[in-house]
Amino acid sequence: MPHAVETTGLTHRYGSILAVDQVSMVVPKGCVYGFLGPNGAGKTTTLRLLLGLITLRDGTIHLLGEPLTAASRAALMRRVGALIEEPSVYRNLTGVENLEATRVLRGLPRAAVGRVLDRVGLSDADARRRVGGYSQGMRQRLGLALALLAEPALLILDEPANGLDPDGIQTLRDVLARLHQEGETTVLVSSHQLGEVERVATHIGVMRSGKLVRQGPMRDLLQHAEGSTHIRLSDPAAAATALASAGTTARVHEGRVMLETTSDAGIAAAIRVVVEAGLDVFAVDTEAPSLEAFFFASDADAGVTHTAEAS
Amino acid sequence: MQAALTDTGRAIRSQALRLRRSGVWLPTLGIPSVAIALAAIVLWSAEPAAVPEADLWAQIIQAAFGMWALLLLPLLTALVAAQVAALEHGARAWKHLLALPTWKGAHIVAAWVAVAGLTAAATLALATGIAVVGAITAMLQPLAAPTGAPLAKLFGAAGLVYAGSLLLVSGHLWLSIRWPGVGVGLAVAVVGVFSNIVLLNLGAGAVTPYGLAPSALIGGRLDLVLISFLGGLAVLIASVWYLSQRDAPA
Repeated sequence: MPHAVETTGLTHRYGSILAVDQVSMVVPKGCVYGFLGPNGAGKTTTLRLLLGLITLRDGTIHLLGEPLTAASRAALMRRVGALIEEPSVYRNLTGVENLEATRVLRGLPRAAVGRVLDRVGLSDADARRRVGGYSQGMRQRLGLALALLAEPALLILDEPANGLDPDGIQTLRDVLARLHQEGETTVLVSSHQLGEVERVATHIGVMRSGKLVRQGPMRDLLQHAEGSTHIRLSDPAAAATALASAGTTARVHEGRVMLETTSDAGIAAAIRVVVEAGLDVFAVDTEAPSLEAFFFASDADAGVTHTAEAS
Repeated sequence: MQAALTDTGRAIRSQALRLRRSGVWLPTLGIPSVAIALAAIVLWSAEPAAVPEADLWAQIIQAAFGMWALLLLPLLTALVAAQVAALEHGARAWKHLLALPTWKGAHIVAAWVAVAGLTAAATLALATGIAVVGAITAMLQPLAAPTGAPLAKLFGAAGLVYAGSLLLVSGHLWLSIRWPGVGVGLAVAVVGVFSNIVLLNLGAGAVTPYGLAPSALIGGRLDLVLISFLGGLAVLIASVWYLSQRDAPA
């Protein structure tokens, strides 16, 4: 069965900056693929390449089993929906009119608008208001509706949870979960909200400095990931420094020190180091392997160090 | 080819929808209103029977459309082109439009149709406004203008000036797509208009695109209209090529 997205050697430069470096990505059909990476890792450039928004110079792209070329782009994009960065909505129009503007361009039936509004949870009253008065979350919902308008076989979302309130995040989760259950749509979603991705994704890919450093089914990847240990103590920053000096990988996260191990020996050694550094230990918790731990383990593999608290 | 035409038709319909409640209507309706008001002032301040009515109307048409061709239409074109392009720039919609399954050039052609249509509407509004002012004058001040405006001359002048400005429509649309905001287009228009006034006063004729419409009006020159039309078409084709080749703005 052909994959929904398959790239080989995808490379893109902005002048002298290598934004995407030999990316070979495989997104199986029907999956929800969480595309992770810090800001500037090359996620958005990769997604823009997949949509033909940037001219492909190096590498190949296959979408839904077909090669993406200038000649095939239009036919392929009939089956692709996308929300790239912030939603492209016209403030002078109502929500319905925004959808109409895209519906007309896509040559879709009128019924498509009502169906998609229902799907993203925009009420009829809100949909008939001018977008200029929308909150960021409502604009994001409308952007999602624009992406879903054509009932795409491949849905590409770039940071779709940005600006969403808890209700909006729940709606997004529900939409993605329903799409996955229905099995008709493959979702490629980039995000830096690891918790959200962990809830919805079946597969993940991790970008670092333009390279795709990990990808595969989340279950398989997490199986090989270590859990983590969180230590609450008097001075997390000083503890992280002491641990780093002792050769233990640690980082500060939400006011606690996080170790990428759950072994008794590892925890005992770390506590010895921080106590010898004169710090008070208040609590120690261990966590099963999580996407967050996996993500930061990928960091360590790639030689990335964290000096600031991770978001 | 069939697909490109279908896409262009859809893009034009979508563009028309996107113009709703946009800022583009303010200059489109406001600038001809100013010109109509000036024509009314000239007409209503004329001494009854001081000049023959035919000469009076010739003066009004020449004054109104001369000012329109020389100054107001270039500025209107710059503003309208900037505001049509600003719909996409402001909404950061290029990435959305260019990821749709449509021929990329369709969006440029649709924007061109919008700018050309709006400037045509404004020019038509000017001609219609002057005709209405003429009809009112014929009723209220029959000694000044007993028969009203000569419609053939009025709309003929409007058509000549409008057709002479098609190169400006294409040029300003390209500028506005390439550089977001009103600044660049308006600055080019102001420099173009005033350098053209200087050149016309020096007797240089239609040296720049800004001189085509006024020179066509003054001399009734259809060759300048043809240059404007063909030039506008060439710039439009170049704009389509440009957008098709360029990466979508972020």
